[in-house]
Amino acid sequence: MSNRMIGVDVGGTFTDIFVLDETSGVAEVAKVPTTRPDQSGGFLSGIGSRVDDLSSVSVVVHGTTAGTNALLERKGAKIGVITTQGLRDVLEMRRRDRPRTWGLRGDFEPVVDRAHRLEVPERTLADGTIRTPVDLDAVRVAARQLIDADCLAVAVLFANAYANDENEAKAVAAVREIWPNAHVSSSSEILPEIREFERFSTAALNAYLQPEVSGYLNRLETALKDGGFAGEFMIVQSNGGVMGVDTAARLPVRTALSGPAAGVIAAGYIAKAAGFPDVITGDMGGTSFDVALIAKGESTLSPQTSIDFGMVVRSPMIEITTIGAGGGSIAWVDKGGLLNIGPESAGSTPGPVAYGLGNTRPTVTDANVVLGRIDPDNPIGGKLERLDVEAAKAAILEHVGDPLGLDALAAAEAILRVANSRMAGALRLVSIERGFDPKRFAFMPFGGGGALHSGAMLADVGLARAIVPRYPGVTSAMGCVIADMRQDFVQTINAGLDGIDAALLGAHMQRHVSDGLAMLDAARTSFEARETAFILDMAYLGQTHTVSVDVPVEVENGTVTPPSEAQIGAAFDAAYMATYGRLLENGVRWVMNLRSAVTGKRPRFDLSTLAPRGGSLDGALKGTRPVHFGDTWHETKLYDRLALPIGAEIPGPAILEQPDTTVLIEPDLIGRIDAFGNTIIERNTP
Amino acid sequence: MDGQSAALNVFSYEQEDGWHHPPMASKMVGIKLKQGQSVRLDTPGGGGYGAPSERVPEAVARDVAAGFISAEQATKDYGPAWQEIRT
Repeated sequence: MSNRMIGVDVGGTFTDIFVLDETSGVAEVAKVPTTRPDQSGGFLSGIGSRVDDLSSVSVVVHGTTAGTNALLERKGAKIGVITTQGLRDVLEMRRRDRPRTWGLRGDFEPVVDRAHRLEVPERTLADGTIRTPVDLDAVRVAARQLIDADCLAVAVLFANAYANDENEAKAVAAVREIWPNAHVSSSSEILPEIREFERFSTAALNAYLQPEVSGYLNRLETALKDGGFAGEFMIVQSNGGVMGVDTAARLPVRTALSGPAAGVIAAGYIAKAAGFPDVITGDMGGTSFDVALIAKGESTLSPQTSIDFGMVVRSPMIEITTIGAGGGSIAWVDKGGLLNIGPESAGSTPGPVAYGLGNTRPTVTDANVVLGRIDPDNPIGGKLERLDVEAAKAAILEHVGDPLGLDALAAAEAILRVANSRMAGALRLVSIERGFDPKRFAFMPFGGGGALHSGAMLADVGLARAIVPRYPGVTSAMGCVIADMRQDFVQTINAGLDGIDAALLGAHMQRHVSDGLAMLDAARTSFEARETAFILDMAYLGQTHTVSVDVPVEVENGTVTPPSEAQIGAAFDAAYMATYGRLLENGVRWVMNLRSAVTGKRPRFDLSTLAPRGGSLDGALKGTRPVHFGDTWHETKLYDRLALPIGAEIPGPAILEQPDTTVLIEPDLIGRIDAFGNTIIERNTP
Repeated sequence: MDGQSAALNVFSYEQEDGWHHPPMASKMVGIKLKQGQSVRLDTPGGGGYGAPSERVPEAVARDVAAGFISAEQATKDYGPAWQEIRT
């Protein structure tokens, strides 16, 4: 039996498949249209295009946008909330932030109607003592009321349940006895961490996603099993690690950024293999440009993310910054005569004017088409016969050129300049504004459109080079296969460091490690190594903001030796000094939360199995086309990118084409094909 | 413009002899509370614009379902039309 691992990324247009044969180390990729509304059709046909026999597959890993889309489009289930008396409106009041800083208007509807947020008598105090035991009859009445109101899931959200979950656990048990399905979320199970709104919001969004996401995953799993698959089905989490499908069905909120996280993981892996561990990734889609920074091969995790206004998920997620500038973003001139790009987008349907599907307002893609950067006769994706250059030109002239007194070409260049400058702004935000020098970083575009803009990113941000992966369109699917298995845990401690109960802290660490290792043991995949990491969120008493303190903890054969008070103190001093440059001599050091991560390291596969074999520069040359750069046309060589040999050097201007991406090398740049088939684009300094 | 007045701000606090409702809450100083006694602040509403009878019954029914207004108060202020709406 061969030992195949398959990564599947379902996007809006395409389902990407990445197949890795673990025995031989050989990888293959495939791309099939996404099927709607049931995505399992494309999912299975994609796998079927590379694998005859599903029983030969050991693992299928899926990066999904089901959760992301349900949150962004607010298409989660009708749910209810059972909460402590007096806390019905926590989800609505949030942190008293507002959708727009200025102006008098703006509203927010929580994902749960107020009519379905029910209160029950109970009270646990902040120190964990129970002032009012939970009234279980009231809990049952509330649950029945929500069932009668056709709620498909429920979240139980009790005050201070992170400090003592007794009341909440009793209520959850009572609800689970009568609730008709498994969709009962408990705030203390999902996030036993101080801060009410974040805990409530995370648990409520988990309930909101659960019917939809767990149903989707079950359909996929059933379809795989019906096809003879007997291996393990896993899902990518927002933290860039994978989890079993059962965990994902129970904790769907952890899939909120599943798909994008997989792409960032793969990008980091490719860049590190190519010798550039510091990269900024840029995923350009139809409506947005998603940016992430990877320093020394590690992507940044943020502890909390707002998926949309007021929809806060507190669980570690790969930090991804999104701006509304994609290929379909519309260019328009405002009343003051300024050229703007987006946020309105024509998306992929009707798409840019050049698609001829009904949109008449010019987009970023239309500017690329008019300037000859995209081949009008072979549109990527293969859905359309050809692109309508004249229509794109007319739209640019009407909506941008005429109002600004520019001809169509100058207007198209202007559109690109504004779009590039917005994209460059996102790159600066994650690098310069966080203390990272962009000169040290390479830009890695992936997705369909990013590689058209890499030259502009080098020029605008001062990045050293760009790396275009050999298959930028299947980066997320590849990420599914190489992602480690990872589980994150959190527990609020809320105690002073002086005289801290080391045994209790050690017991929490042991519980996290035992649960995490049990999860790795249950997995049927192989791990090269098992790692544990422990962070304490600490501050001086009275401070709100904490610093993350890496604490040294020995774990041997699954048994934790907790750190001593002195070790924690030294680690805190070092972390605080590194962050703020000074210590507070008389400050009382406080331990707020314990965060643990247990990771099973997946075996590495050799990216060079994807590298080109043979080929020649001349053989890859397809012809020439005039392309507009700056203020003039350049006759530009066109290459079939996948036919270029290792070591090929292509001075700009040149365009490298492949089925799902166009790589642009501007006149002052040079592209080189490295040993993995990546294209490295740098300034051409003779 | 046919609008009605809003509820006023009400400040109340508990003492051993029961609840007190002073008329000018912002001028109170020196109130002492014992453990277990409470203070209650009712914030004012926003008043209304236009005749309440012209408000669409669906909006009234939604407010009743959400618990923002009691059924009796809704019928008193807006008339009985909302009762026909199923939410």
